[in-house]
Amino acid sequence: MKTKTSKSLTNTHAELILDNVADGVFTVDENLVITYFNKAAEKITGMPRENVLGEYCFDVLRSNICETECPIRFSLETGQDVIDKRENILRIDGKKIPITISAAIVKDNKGNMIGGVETFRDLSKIEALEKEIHKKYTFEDIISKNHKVMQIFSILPNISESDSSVLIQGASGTGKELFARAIHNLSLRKDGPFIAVNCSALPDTLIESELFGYVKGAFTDAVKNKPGRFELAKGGTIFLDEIDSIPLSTQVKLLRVLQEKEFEPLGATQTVKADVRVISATKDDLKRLVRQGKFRDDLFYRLDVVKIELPTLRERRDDIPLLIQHFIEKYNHHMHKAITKVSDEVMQILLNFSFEGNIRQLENIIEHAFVMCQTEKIEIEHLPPEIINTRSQKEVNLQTEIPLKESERHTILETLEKHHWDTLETSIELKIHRSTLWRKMKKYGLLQK
Amino acid sequence: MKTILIPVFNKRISSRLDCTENFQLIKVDNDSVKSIETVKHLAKNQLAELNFILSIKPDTIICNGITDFYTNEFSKNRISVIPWVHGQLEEVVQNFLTGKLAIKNY
Repeated sequence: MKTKTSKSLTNTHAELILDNVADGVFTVDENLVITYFNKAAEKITGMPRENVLGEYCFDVLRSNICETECPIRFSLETGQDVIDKRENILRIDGKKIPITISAAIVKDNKGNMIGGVETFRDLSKIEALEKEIHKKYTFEDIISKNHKVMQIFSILPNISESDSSVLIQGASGTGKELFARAIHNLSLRKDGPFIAVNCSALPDTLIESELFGYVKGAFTDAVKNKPGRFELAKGGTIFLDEIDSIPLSTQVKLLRVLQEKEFEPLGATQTVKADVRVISATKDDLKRLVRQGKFRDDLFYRLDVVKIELPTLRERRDDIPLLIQHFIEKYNHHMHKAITKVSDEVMQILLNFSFEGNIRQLENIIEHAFVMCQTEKIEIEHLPPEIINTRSQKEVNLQTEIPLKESERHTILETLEKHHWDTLETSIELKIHRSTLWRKMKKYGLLQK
Repeated sequence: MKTILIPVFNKRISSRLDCTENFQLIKVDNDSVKSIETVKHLAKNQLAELNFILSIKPDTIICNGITDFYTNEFSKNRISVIPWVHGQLEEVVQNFLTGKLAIKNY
């Protein structure tokens, strides 16, 4: 519905120039009704000019600050310019487009204010690069429509609002760090640092000094004070990945940080306050490690205040097409290609693949296919050889074995591997007696392993 | 009885569902309005906003801008959405009740 009569910009020369600039430009009258809309503005918003002239700018631009800090309203009210304000608009296809916007008033030849002008620049590519460099991921970067992931989404705001420790449990490649970053970026600590530490990458002898820092003279090579990761994470979040790799001696010190909210750097006589939220992650079952005496139970209960269990890709197969499309878009951008999809056959293979390496493995497969593919569609020959071989093997198996038996053998093997061939843990998960498990292992030739 | 949720700003449909603070909850029965309630919700983030809307369990949402993330979530929760609608609230509600709600397809 046209709300006002549009006042078209009559200067055709000016229009020609404005239609050839890369930035979106539009003008409004004193009532915020659009009077001019250039080609770049059409491209960025996805709205044709003829549909927006005469409409209110907030109904067309749909920026996140239209209702609270409208730049052009500010300019019209104060006469001051707004320069490069960062915000996002909503395109007609429901995609958020990050932009910078500038606004100023427009005066006629006599100096009377007749409206305002806004220019805006699409920052999508810049923001995508920034996201990769600074890893500023939010829940919107988690690609899923799976109900298990949706259940996690429903509790993320509550988890983020609290300052409690979070334990994320999930197999390798399930996106533990992505969820940790999403929690941080939803929390009140989002403006503070997010420090990620892979505990398994640090040698036992260094882990304490890396986490808690040291003071000059603490040991022979300590020529100056060095802050630890906990100090670097002050006011933010520390993400301790593969927490199960922390040696028992460091576990005691970590327990103190969680209990007392303070620690002492190596060689220091004074304590340092730890204003840090701890998110830890493990692919192992920490409870099992506690039972085996490899992990302190008191530390486990401190870390396990809120637990998030991430499903494997096998448990969220319905997300595979979405994830494939996401990685196609990502690698088109990275490799300057224009691949549109995978063939139906490739989709079937990927939907049935076991994905031991989860989402990371799927991404690697798509990246491999991108290197090999020179057309618009990813075909079987573009997939890594091991995927094609697995498929061939499966076809052979289907011809020679009874599917139900194969399925049972596969389930037992998978569960055994998950529990590092611990038959007690495996029998508990499979809800069968240990002796039954042993008989089945014997039947399927799994005993020699 | 059906519940219609509409994000509002200054008596107009709010330009974006994920950025609004004010909602009108309209109970409709046999094409006539039975009750209107104004709800204010200051969400700390968009996920909290989404969860708030889902907790209301509306049958239909009439809104202007909506992210594809929200659209998917509502679809999964069997909430029908009439998006990209703008104009005065009263006029939009009237058009909805009389089946004349024009969804502008740009």
